[in-house]
Amino acid sequence: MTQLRAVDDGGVAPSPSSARAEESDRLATLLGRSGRGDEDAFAELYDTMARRLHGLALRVVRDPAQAEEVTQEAMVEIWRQSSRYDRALGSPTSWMMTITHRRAVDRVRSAEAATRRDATYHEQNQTVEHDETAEAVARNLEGARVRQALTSLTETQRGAVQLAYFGGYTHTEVAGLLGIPLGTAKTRIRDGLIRLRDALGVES
Amino acid sequence: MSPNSGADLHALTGAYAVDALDDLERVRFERHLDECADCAAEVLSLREAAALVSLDESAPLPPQLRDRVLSSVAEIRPLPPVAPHEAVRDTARRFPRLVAAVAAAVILVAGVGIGNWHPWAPQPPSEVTSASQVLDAADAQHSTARMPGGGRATVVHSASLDRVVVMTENLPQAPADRVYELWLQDAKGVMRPSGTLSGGSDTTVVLRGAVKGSTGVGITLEPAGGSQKPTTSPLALFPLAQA
Repeated sequence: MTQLRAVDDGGVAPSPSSARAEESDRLATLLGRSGRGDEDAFAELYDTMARRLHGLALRVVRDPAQAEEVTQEAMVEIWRQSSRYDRALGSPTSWMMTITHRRAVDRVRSAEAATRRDATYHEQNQTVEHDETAEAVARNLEGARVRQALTSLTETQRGAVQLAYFGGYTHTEVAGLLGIPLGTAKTRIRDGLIRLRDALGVES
Repeated sequence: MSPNSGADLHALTGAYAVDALDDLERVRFERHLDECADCAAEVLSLREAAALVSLDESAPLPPQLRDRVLSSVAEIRPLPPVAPHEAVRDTARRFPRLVAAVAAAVILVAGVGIGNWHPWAPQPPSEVTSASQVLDAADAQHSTARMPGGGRATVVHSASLDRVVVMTENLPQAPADRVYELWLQDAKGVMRPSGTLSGGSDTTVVLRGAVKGSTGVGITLEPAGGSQKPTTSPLALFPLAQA
């Protein structure tokens, strides 16, 4: 059924969790070197992470020009903060995505940006039609796992998580958009993420 | 002190993990995180899960972005590793004096929260200072006062960003011909107009202009449009720690 494609180099797919652990070690090392001012290490970090971070920024912000600014700001921020990264703060990937997500959300919530975003959205909404989370998946092993995990959420949990994470809405706004009580929105977001975490076997 | 019960706060881990809190909720929740190891651990695990969801969101990079990023970092020194508790202790030492100063100035000091460093919250200072950057700053210091007409106001000061944010909660709508005006007070006691707000809905604003040299933040009720000098006595005054 699902076509699984091994990550980059064809060959035998490594088990996702050990590959992820190795990748985390490598990224943590690069962050440590960046924190000591090593620009080569940071360039390597950029080459590894920038596409993903930009993808996230684009997903939230939608306007390509603003997404580019967000990605740039986030990368510079990662450089500035790199010495402060610590394993206790989660995986390097999640730490960098958190910085980027926060930047993207800040951008999308600022009034000026909202106007620009709407204008751009109407002008070129054919380029931003990639929407449903499930559609975005299935490119590699991890993707298939994530898609599988997403099916463990109820429809309503998935909707709430998507509006919050990709839409950049606050839980209050999510409640308004879905026409549900405030307490329900925050519970759905949390329950959805917990299910996802447990289905993905995230350790932390 | 918080109107939110502990149970309510625990339920915000998910929303916090995906940045779905407004600024005020976030500041409160981060205070809670300082004291609740369970919530802190849950936030981290939920962030890991969220990061995996967007795994496939990779997008082609704009061609010049790499050069721009690499050339800008060449001009920026990475921050030193943080010593999270220093700033807090320093502030605490200063506060008794400051609290006395505030109490003398009409208002009820409802509580003084001291900002500190949240290891799980990245701090993004940059060219354009947004409220959330101030709230997230490693050296952010909060103080909260109950407003005489109801509601509360919280002042958050980041000396490193040289900015102050004012957040209001449940502040009543100002009368039709009035606004709440925000002031920065200098060492000579001169009040500089730094913004207005109308109340009625919870608001977070960055005060206009640099803060360095200011000794306090004041809030007064002024005729609509605001004043150049306060025309009424302050509803609240907040001392600012000097850098």
